[in-house]
Amino acid sequence: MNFAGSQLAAVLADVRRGMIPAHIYGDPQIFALERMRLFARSWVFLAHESEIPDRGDYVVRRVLADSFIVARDESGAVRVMFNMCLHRGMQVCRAEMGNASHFRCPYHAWTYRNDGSLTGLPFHAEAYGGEDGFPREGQSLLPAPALGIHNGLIFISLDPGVPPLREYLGDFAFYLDFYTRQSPAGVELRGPQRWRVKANWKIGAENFAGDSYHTPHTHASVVDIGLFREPKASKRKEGALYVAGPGAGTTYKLPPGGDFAGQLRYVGYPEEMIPAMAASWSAGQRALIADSGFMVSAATLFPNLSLVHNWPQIDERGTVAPFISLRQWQPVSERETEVLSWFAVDAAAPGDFKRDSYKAYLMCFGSSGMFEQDDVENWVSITEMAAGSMARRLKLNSRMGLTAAGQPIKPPLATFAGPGVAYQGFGEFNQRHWLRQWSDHLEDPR
Amino acid sequence: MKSVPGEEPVIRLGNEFTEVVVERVRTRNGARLRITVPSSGRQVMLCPLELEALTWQGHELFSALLRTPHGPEDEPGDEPRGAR
Repeated sequence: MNFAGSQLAAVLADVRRGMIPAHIYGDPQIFALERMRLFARSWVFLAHESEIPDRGDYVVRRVLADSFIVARDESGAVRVMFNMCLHRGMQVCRAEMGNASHFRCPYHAWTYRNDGSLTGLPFHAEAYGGEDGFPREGQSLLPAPALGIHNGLIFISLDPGVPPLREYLGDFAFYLDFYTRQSPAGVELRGPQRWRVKANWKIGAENFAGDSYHTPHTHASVVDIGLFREPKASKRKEGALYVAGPGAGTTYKLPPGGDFAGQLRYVGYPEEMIPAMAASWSAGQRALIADSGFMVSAATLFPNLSLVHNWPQIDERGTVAPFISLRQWQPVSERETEVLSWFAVDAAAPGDFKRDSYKAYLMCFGSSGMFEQDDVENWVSITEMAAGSMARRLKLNSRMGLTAAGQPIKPPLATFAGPGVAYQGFGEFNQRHWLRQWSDHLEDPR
Repeated sequence: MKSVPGEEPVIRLGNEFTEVVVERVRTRNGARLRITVPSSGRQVMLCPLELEALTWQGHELFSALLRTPHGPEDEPGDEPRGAR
């Protein structure tokens, strides 16, 4: 890499003070560093257990260029295996999903059990001299260096020395439960829809982490047509922004005076789901809704998993239905991102609710969703602009919420029931939090 | 054994590694299950007792069978597919 250490140090110093050198959103040298120092070390989301419910079910997912088979083996255990044949390196599983007890490589037919162990290879005796020449015992597709599962969310890290997943999630686990543990049954995922956008991956991750400021303008048409009553500027500026552990997110302020059940009814949850939420969430989690009066909306878990919870109106009668979506910003290059978008719903929810919630999701997000259409045009344009020469002379102002001296323009919320730090109103605290983690990774040469 | 083509429902089962066709074949006095692999033309006819015996097996049996991943290697004049 011909990126001088002093250049990098200057870029990171600017990023840390909230003045972002614009070229980082379209710079191949930065992307090379992200590959080596960030994606080769972080916990990265791959799949949810509900995507592989039965023995032999598998999905194929990537961490950048590295393909992995995420399978439930014949003992019921979740396995994540590097999808490269031990012999000549062919990709063993090429379908995105399937069910198989054994995987047979397309090239020379080396065959593996769905726990990764090598069981057969053609002409073992003639070609290799049998067990003497090539003992099959102990041969296995390479396992992911580190594997962690939380609320059914399957993460891996390419760094075997990474701290355990639960330790990494830290205080963000509190917020993750709102999206992935609404009842003891957990969530089930549908999808993902998968498509590519000509945008740098960081832009979407930052947007979901905390950009409540774009909603009133970028998504104005969503309010105009009556799809969603909340994104008006007057509503968004009442919301709280929080940072917690490796994550950060936005919330909406709920109407005054509501109790726990009333607030969940307000965002469209049916009566029969509310007791499970009350039982599934801690006193602190219930208090965030009932006492602080905030409902989680978008969030990003560093580096590239985002979550969203919104409650649009899905018909002319004004029926409000909440939905949850998980999405991953999978970098392809510094100028292209593959988006994976899942619908998530409480596995124990009534069928009618699942249907309405799915409709709500499709109206807002996914390849046809209206929020999605609005957002991506901005992100593509930023990426194009960032790749030019002039972008090297521009530092983007990402200091919203700070005085010139670097102090918050108002104190953190004193009565916010969730862990971490929260501010009410507009600010770029969350994006700076995300970018600080990004800077810490890129700075570390090990 | 004889069967009337099209009389029995046919189950096609596939994944990215192979595809098989499974059908019941009536004989004069009973029935067997025929498993055909269209790509190789190989087939096996299993009687109910053989099928019951399969239910006693774990996947270890199939791992052992798949030690030669594209079929028998010792049949003269019967080159396994993929060995060309």
